Amino acid sequence: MGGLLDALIVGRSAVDAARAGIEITGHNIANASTLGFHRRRLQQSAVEPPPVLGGGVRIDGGTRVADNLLARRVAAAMADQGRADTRETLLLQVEQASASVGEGGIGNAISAFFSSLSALSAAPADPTVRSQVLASAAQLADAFRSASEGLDTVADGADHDLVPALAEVNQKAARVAELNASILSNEAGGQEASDLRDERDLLVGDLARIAGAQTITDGSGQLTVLVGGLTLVQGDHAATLEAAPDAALGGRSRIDLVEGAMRLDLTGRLQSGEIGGRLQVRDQVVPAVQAQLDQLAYDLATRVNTQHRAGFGLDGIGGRDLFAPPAAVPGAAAALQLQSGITAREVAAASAAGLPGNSENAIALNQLSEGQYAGGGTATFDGQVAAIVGGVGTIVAAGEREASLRQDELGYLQSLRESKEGVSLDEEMTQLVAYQRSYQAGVRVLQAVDAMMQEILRL
Amino acid sequence: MRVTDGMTRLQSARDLALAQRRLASSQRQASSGLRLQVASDDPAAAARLLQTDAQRAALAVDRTSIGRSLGELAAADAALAGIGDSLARAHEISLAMANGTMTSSERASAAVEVEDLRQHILGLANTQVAGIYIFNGQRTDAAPFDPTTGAFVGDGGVRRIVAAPGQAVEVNVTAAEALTASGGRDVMADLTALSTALASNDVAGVRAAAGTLTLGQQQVVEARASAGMLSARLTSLDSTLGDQGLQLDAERSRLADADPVSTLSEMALAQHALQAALQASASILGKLSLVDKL
Repeated sequence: MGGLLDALIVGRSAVDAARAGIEITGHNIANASTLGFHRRRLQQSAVEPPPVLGGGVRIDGGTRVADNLLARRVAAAMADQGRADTRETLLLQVEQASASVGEGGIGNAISAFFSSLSALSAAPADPTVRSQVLASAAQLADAFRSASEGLDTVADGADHDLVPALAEVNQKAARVAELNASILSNEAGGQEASDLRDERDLLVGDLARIAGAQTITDGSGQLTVLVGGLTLVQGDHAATLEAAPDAALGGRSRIDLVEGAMRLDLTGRLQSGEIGGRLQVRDQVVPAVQAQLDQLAYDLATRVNTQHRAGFGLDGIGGRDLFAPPAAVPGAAAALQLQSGITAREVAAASAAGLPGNSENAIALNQLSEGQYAGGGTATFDGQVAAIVGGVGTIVAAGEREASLRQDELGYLQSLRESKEGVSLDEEMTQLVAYQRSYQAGVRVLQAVDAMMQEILRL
Repeated sequence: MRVTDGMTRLQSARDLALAQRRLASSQRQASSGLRLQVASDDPAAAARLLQTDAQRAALAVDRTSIGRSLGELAAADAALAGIGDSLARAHEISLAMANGTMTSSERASAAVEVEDLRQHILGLANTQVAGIYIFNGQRTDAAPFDPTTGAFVGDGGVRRIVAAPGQAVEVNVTAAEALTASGGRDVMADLTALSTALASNDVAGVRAAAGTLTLGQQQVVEARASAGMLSARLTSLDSTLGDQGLQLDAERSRLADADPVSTLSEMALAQHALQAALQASASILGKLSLVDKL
């Protein structure tokens, strides 16, 4: 009888295992589309059979199929992709603001300005032509100003976006710390806290994408999160990132890692993730283009003014500036404007007073376009604009290429990860059939044992 | 490699996005006709395009300036021709009146004609085009000769215009060089001398005036020739600029315009690619699954 009871237990274990298998398969199928879900596998093993022939099957639990190395590579790719993607979006705005190749761009405005001076040389006393010179000079100033303001807007936008991004980082970091604690307590019994780990992995991916976070896992499954090389989350404790306006950055935000009373400036260290992309554009790309525009505006205004002062207006008075003299190179583009109160009659076309047909100074002003007065004496004004536009175009094109490269790279790694950790419905269907059959077979064992017991009881 | 549903989904989404992007970009080119819309489309070409556009703008303005100056020079030529004719007539009169058979009353009436000729020449020397006195050097706002006294009060300055990038050329002839002592003979004074000699029946004076008027005529012809040379130079510059303009237009088109044939074939290709991607995705995502077979 004892032997038969053992067989009954063996049959029950088979039924239990098949049911557990169906549960796990169901869980996998249900979560096939869940973001960050790692498929589960039923771990089962044969029960060692002392003292009789078979002990049945033991359910060892469900395990989560995860590849930590691959997860870290995906996180790194997400950080790169986040940076490249954000950078691309911002760079396109930089290009839009500062590197127009069409109407309204600085290049067109400069050539229109010098052309108006050329027209002035042919009709130095014509009031319409004189007004045209002033109008094109004003348009030139507008073009510089709007490019400069456009760049400021891009940098400001990148700056403002930091605050919500940091809030998201802080919220996710705090949740990672909570999950660290929960995972530690849940896994104390030896069972893996799969769903909590799934959630934590997802958060880590987000932190990588936003802030370029990196992770270290210790033996007990605790995750340490680093941003810019400093610890953001350790165990159940999370520091926070805060934006603080900084005069050294022109009133824009510095990013501090705040841990109790300690504040560390992370701004220069955050080079990855969406935040890194924003900081790069805000602190490197925009200031570089801005500086080039400022220098060009300064050189142009100063040169034109010097030549303009050498000439005389129709009123016979000389020594006037055409543009309001820029105070300094920084900010010259934004501040560029016509000398206040200058009139068309005061445009200095003549090289001597009282000669309305004299256009020597207009010619000299026009010839400034031929000289290498920009880029530190290495380029003409036109050439310098072309160099700036070409430079911005190159940066943007490289940014676009990088974004698409990073996207491909991330796509490849995600595919790889999906391939390892994701749910294949076909596979689950096969498992489902297999477990269903196991269940049926297990029940048949029970039926057989039951029949045998009936036989015995009838004796 | 294990192929999962998520993987297939990711791949399909990526492929579709790629095909859509390709189609959008070729559509943008085809509908705008432009290959280069922003600098990043082709940075080197963008830099070149800006310079080409600057040159094109400069050329267009320079050609307008040349046209304006050619107009002034044509007016100067016509005026100088008129002056030359009047001087020829005065010379003719001086030769005729130097003849001893002429009476004093004939000389007196000839004096009136010479005075008329002088006034006519004065009027022509004070010619204006679009409000500027073309023969008065750089003082284009005033007449070179006082209209009442006929005294020369003008300027002999050279006027120049920017006629080509980096090139300023002379565009005027002056009354000073054509009609005053600074050109050799003071033609107006010579005419006055002739009319005075005629009025006072001074045969020797008339004869002397005939000699000086020949020199004066020569001087006006020279002024007219120099106007002709300036015109010829401007015309030749204009045609050079015209050729350069065509080259620059071609250059611009090469840099910025999309080639319609390749754009349209690229668009057709992109459409096919998208269609193929859509079909493949639909059949993989929608149909091939064990779920339907069991």
